[in-house]
Amino acid sequence: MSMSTAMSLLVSAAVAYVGAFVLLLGEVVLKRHWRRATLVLGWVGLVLHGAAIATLWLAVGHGPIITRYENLSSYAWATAVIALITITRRRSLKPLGLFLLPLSFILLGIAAYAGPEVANMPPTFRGVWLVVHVVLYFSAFGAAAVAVSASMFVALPAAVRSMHMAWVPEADELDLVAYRYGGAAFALWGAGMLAGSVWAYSAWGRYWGWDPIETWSLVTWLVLGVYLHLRRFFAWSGRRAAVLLVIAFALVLVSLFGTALVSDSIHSVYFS
Amino acid sequence: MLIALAGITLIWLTQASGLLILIEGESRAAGTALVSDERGPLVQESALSAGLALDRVEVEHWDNGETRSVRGVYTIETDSGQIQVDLVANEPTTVGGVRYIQDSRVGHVYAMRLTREDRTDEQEFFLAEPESLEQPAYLDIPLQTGEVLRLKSVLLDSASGAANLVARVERSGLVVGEQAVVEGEPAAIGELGVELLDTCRWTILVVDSTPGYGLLFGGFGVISLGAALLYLATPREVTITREPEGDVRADWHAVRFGRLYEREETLLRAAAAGGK
Repeated sequence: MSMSTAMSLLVSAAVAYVGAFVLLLGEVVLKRHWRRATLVLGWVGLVLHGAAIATLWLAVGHGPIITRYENLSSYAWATAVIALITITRRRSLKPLGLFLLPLSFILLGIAAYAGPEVANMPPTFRGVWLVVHVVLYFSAFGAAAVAVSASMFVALPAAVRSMHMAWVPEADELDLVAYRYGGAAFALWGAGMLAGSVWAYSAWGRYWGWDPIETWSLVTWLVLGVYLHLRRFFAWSGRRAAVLLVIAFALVLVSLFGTALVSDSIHSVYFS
Repeated sequence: MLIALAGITLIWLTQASGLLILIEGESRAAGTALVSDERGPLVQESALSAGLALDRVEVEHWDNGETRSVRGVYTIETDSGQIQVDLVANEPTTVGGVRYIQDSRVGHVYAMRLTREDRTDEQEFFLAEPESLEQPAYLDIPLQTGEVLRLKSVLLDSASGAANLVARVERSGLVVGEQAVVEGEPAAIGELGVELLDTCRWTILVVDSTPGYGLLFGGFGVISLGAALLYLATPREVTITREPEGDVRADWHAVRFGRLYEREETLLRAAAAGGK
């Protein structure tokens, strides 16, 4: 009963996100006055999504961190939270929702396709460091998603922006948003790795084992660091910085979702 | 940063860790070399600094037979005598400056007597814990005759964790015979005599006596504290003053990271000069 309830809530949340996206599209592109409806539907979707996670948590007795369904749903929720906070607080950044809301419901769609199978908590999956580790990674993903959503608009040729996408905010503002959220993603990702290494020591007796996911995670963190370094000390900005951040986000996706599918890993035992 | 680098250097130079594969009731003396060890340049050998014995292993299962928790009960020699320590997977414990980590790898060890014609061998076979009630653990043992002895450990019920052993002999991929093997009841599979002499559990204990982790994480702590202080500090200041003539003057100043706010300064100057 709880499993089907969780799935129904999840599908309802996805529908609400799609609805919010459509309204946002009308508001941004067609200049309709649908802001209130967009936000209401978006936040309703977030609440339904949170209820889906809580229902499954109660049903299986552990947090949403083990199976592919649970992980994707959690990443989607973190993305939706940060997206809705961003577009609620800063009206000028609402176009970012055109990337972030679809990202959330695509992740939800893949999660639903994977199915809410039940997995037991293995002996190594406990302790506060594991909780800190995953919460930091969920937050880092959300921050990186906001950064890349801003960067994707900046990366567009200026002619395209001015002729066909007049509703896109000023490139300078988006560039600064990408920089700040990219910095937040870097800090959260680094802290997540640190917390993960402490948990790994408790679980396996080593802080770092060059596990494929650990290695890709380190590469991603370093590329985010290079991005920040180039901006801070070599005055990178605009399109080339935006393109680098898009590449860094591709690495984020590879680290979190790709590596576990193609190689053996301590993480993929449970994630795939 | 310096503290963290000092910690990394200390760990690299003095790293001393490794593991022991232990059977219930087995003891190891101080000085026993650790296997799969990792050693820094200043460490001659990774070895136990204190004698220890594995008294028993307790494994809890979920309803479907998957492993839920692993607990090892050890007796460790200390300066003040022997102490009994419960080590649970994912909960490292420090005794006498040495960190002991109970690994989640666990299983059954079967002491068996194999007889063929006039030749008899007694061997111990280590099988991992079955993954679940439906997924047994397997071990293939090549025999000198070219046949393969395949052992299968099947979890009987999740509550007790008891396992049943099944032995099968294969020749060129074809099954010669298969039989459940019970302690005290010799069996024959084809021309191979099989007798289970004893069963107990095995597990892995990780032993780590590397110093410097405190220094390393202390360094990270100082870096984080510094970053937080920088982040929380006000990076820009605006002072608005009304001049005697009635004009309003705004002074803008970036406290630190001036280059980070160059664009903002430019925009403010443009605005002050009559721009947007």
